[in-house]
This record gives sequence, C-alpha cells and structure tokens, in this order.
Amino acid sequence: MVNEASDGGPEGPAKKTRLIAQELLVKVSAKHRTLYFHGESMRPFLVEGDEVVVEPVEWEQIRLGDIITYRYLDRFPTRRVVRRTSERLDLWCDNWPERPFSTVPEDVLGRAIARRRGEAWLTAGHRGWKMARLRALLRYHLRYARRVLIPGAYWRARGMVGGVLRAVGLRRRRASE
Amino acid sequence: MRYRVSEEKVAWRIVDGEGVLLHADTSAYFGLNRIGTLLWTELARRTTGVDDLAAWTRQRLPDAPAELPRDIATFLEQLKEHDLLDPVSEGETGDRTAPRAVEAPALDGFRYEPPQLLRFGELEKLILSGE
Repeated sequence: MVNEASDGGPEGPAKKTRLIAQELLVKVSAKHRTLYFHGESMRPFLVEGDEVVVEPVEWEQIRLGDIITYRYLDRFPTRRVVRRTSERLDLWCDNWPERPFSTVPEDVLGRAIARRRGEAWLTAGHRGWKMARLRALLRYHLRYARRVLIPGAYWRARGMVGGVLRAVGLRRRRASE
Repeated sequence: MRYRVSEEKVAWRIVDGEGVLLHADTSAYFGLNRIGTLLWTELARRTTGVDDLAAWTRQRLPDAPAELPRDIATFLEQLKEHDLLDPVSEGETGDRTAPRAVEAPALDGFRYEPPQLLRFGELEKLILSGE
C-alpha cells in the first residue's frame, strides 16, 4: 500500500512537490501530452484553449521568435523571445507589445514546437508558424525603432538643421559659441 | 527478479535530497524520502534487485537494521504497483545502452528510515499562461 500525502497547505512541501511535478510535465509534453494555453496575450497565434506541445531546449538553441515556457513563481508563462543576451531573454506577448518580460537560463523549461486548435495542427516547421514568427519580430523591431531610434534621429536632425541655420546666419549663435 | 526505472514513462528530479517522480502517462506524481531517493538513483543507474540493493545500501549505511531487505522489497513492490519500474527477467541483461549519470543524495548525518513512496495525486491538465 502506498502512502497518500496530504496537501500540506498552500505553502507546504506538497505544493513544492506539485510544482516540481508540473515542471516535469512540461518537460515530457513533447512525448506524452499537450498543455493548454490560457489567456489573450498571444493572440492571434495562441488563443484560449489551444493545445501546445513544449519540448526541452538548450539555452544555446533558443532563437529569436521562439515561443518559450518558463517558470515564474507557480505559473508557466509562455511568451515570444524578442531579444537575447548570454544571460537573459527579453520576451513579449504578441498581443501585449507594451509589456516587456524577461527570464534567465535556469528558469527556461522548454520551447513550443506545435499547436493544436480544434483538429488542426500547426508545427514549428510549418510555413504558418514561420510567418507568425517573422511577423512578430518585424512588429517588435518596428515598435523598437519608433520608440528608440526615431526619436533619437529627430533630435540629431534638429541639431544639424540648427547648426546649418546658425552657420548661414538665420539663427542666433549660442552664447557659448 | 531485477528492476530498472521506466525511463520512458517516468520523469523525475531530485530537489534538496528528495526525489519527485511523475508518471508521464497517468500524470500521477510521487515523493520519495531520502532513503527512497537513494535507492531510486541506484535503480536509475543500473538494473538491480532486492539483495543487491540491500548489500549496496548497507555499504553506505552500516547501521541499517536487519529489516533492510524486507523494507527494500516493500518499496520495490510499491514502485512496481504504480508502474514506475520495469521488471527485468533473469535471462535479460537489462543493461542500458547509455547508462544515465546519476548523483545519489548525500547521506551525511543520515539516520535510517524505511524507504517511502508518497503518492500525492494526479495533475490535472496543465495551463500555460500568457498573462
């Protein structure tokens, strides 16, 4: 007869065991079962109720545009990689571009490799998957350019125009000049 | 009879010296106490049986009681009952083509207690959250 364990309360050892078991379940998803996506944050690529297959991935194999599942407290956020360094991944949700997220190597549990919606499967090698990756990265970089690069270019251009105007005498020189 | 860990069906991890097992088909999950974890790591490393495990354990825990073989036999039965072990008949070698590198938990200051398998229940469907 095997002993049955009690729940141990919300912060008890049973909760920790359960969390580890859930992480193990993510790791065996590719071989044994699909996981379920919840929420609107990754629309239209992932929607509520989509089944997702996640497989373990080495840190070096993670590419921009991949959708990864990682550990955060007792949840398993699943988001797209938009930037990476040797120590960190920057992530975003396709449908929440204004909210940045990040994670570190030790918290990455796996990478999504397939999605099932109804009876239709889409796998990472499929054109639709690749196009969604490309579109998401393009949107991210356009947004980044608008927020960071273009404002900088504006001020640089403004400075250059001011310099020209001052040079031709159409604008007063600064007191320091 | 000898046994080995059902690598195809069982995912497991050792945290703070204690094992957590997940049966991938049923989603049932289990906890092992320290001596259970010690035995599990050996079962993951090689195909073995009660007497062999008892001798191996006694080398590490010279103060283990005379009931050690009986405790191990009970423990193996529990694991087998939950489909966590594969029996290997005498004719088979049971050797793995690529033995898994397993680090057994440290036993510093450890006092013997019978190996235990705790069944915690089954995981329901796992939700990945975007939020």
